[in-house]
Amino acid sequence: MGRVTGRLKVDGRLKHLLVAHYRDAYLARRLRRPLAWVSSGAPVELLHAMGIFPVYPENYAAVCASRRMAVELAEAAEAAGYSPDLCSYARTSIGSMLAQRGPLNGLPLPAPDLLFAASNICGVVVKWWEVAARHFRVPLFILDVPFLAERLTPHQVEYVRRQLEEAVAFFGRHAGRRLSSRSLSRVLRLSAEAVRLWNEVQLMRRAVPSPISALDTFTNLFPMVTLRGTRACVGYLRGLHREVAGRVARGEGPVREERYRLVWDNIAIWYAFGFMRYFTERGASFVGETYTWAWGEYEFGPDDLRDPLGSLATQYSRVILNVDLGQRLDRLLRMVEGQRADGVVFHSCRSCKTYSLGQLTLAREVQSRLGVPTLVLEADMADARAWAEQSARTRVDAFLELLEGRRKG
Amino acid sequence: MGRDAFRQALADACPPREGAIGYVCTYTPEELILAAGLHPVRLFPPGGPTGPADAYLQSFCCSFARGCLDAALRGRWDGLAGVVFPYTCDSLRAVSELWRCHLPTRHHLFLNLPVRVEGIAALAYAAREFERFRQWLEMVAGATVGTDALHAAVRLVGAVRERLAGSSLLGREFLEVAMGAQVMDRFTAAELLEGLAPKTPPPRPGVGVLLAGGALEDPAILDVFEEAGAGVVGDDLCVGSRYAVLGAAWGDSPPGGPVVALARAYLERVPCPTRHPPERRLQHLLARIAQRQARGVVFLLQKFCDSHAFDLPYLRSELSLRGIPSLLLEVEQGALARGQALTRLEAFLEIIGS
Repeated sequence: MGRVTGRLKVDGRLKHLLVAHYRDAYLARRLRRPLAWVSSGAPVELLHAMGIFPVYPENYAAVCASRRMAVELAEAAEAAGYSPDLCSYARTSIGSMLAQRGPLNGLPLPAPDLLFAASNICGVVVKWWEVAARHFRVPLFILDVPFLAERLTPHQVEYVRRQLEEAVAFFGRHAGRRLSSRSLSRVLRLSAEAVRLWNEVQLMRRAVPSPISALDTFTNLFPMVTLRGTRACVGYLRGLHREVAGRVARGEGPVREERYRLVWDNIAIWYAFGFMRYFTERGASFVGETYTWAWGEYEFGPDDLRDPLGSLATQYSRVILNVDLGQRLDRLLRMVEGQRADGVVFHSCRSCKTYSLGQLTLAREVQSRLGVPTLVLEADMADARAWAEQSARTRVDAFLELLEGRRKG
Repeated sequence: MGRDAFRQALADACPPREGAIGYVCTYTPEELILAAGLHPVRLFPPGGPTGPADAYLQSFCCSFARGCLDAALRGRWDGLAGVVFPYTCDSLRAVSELWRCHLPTRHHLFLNLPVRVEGIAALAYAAREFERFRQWLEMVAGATVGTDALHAAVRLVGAVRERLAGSSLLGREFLEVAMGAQVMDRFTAAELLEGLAPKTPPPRPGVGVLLAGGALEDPAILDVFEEAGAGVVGDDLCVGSRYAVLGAAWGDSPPGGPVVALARAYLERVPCPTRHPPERRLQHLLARIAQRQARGVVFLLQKFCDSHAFDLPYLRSELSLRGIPSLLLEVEQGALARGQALTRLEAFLEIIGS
């Protein structure tokens, strides 16, 4: 039996990073630093290398959801004619723009000087960023990253690479910044180091008991998403790495008696962390999430520095939401086997069609190929209005009973 | 003959002929399919409740995309030699993936079209994808797609589009003919359309409204407009007039060759909301309203269609600024909630008719 441990010590530093990030965002204009709104799948390394401050409306929407403010902001967007069937991150963000309020000292996300979104996570961000461009009347650059069906073709890579060259010129034109190859190399090295550390932390979860669970990784994802390519991110991840390695050495984990090891598919349910704790209370550890692992997919090696834009084009084409079902299944099977998981929980998220449509096939394939049971839970990442926690808990109980039966059998 | 032939083509599950290539989106260059000696068939799901597809797609997938997979799983399109899915939206991309995983259609292609429709990089990329499509068609047909055949196909499809664009048919009749033309043999469609042109335009019925939106399953959805006393005087629907608007016409030696010229024509067409940048769409909509002298616009939104839903607040506010009233009706499983739609339409017509 492993020793139980509470929250990670680095969480305190995480809070500091989050506060500092948003404080810097609100100060950017005063410090004459151009500020860009960036989608989570966009190559942020370019912005860091050009001295442009990136903020993430998706992360901001997650913050709104975790502070129980997403619903009222979404309702503001709906009152302006945005369908309640649209992505709840988008509705939260648009509602915050329109109502001019938010959870951080009551403020909305600071207005951007320019907008940058990549189509590699969904078509929604393209439309959402168009809405923002009309609202703020600022320039918008859409990086079009074609779907990776079966294999990445040279003309796909060339298309994305040419757009990255255009993006550099666009940022130069609208933010008055230039790209030096030296600073891009520095940022890519920092990004690669962050990815290496993040992936090692994820692989340490293979230990029994798993040293951390989904709550820890969903929370600790913030630096990987928003600060990737900075020294602050690497510094933070070194601390996380040290602490998790220490837990493994001491046989510690968040679950009193680790009876079940699970994998989570899709975004977190940001307003229902109590529900995630319910798994922990019932002896279930999450040993991997396809969502948090996705930020470990940008692996820049020394060779990539010779052609950084080509490398960015390739890496950002391979993100989990931009690849076909076969490739998603391969990644999932590898995670289940590699992390020694005995069940998979699919969050069927009504806001995120790219992530969720196809999950029912993935669930069947995981069951039939590995004999691993799966659970599909209907929810939404930010909009709590349709969430029924009690019935979700009942389904979790039934699922864990099934796993228990298999343990005994 | 005449309109009945179009209606019949639409009702047939799949043309009983070899070499039928199914597609779901008007960004598919059907000229290339014809040039390969194959037959392009736009796939319109029948509407109504779905069954087999519900095991693969959650409830928040739009019923048009779900209906496509459902009809395929029920065997409606078993006779297809192949199916092509151009990149349209997240839901249809998922349907393409599920079709490839779960259906035995012999040939399947995801035509990886760009989201961006402006700029040299997008054109170069789209032309390469069109070229890849040409090679795939050659493999399916076992024949070469020659330049002469492509020119002939461009002329043929151009004639169909031109005759549809110039048609004075309105409302359900126009939609039946337009949708039927996208299913039937294109030579027959071109000939029948020539014969359909009435000598004098029909009288304008009711209070004139323009319909705008994306894909629809069944032209019968327009019956409720007639019932409410609305005259559908035109549309900006991807299954209707937007199919007819494509500037694919060039001389014998277009710069870059015919495939590049075709790619350019598709990128330069009026963008649907899945393409970026979106500005030309509003201009096109305003032009259609003016050209058809519509008094108001009714947006038909497939429930759960993200691309169209995001544009609606902007489009409606731009129309409102110009004094053009608009109404939004949601479509699900190929139909409107009849009673509610009728009441709302009648109220809308009262406003725009006064």
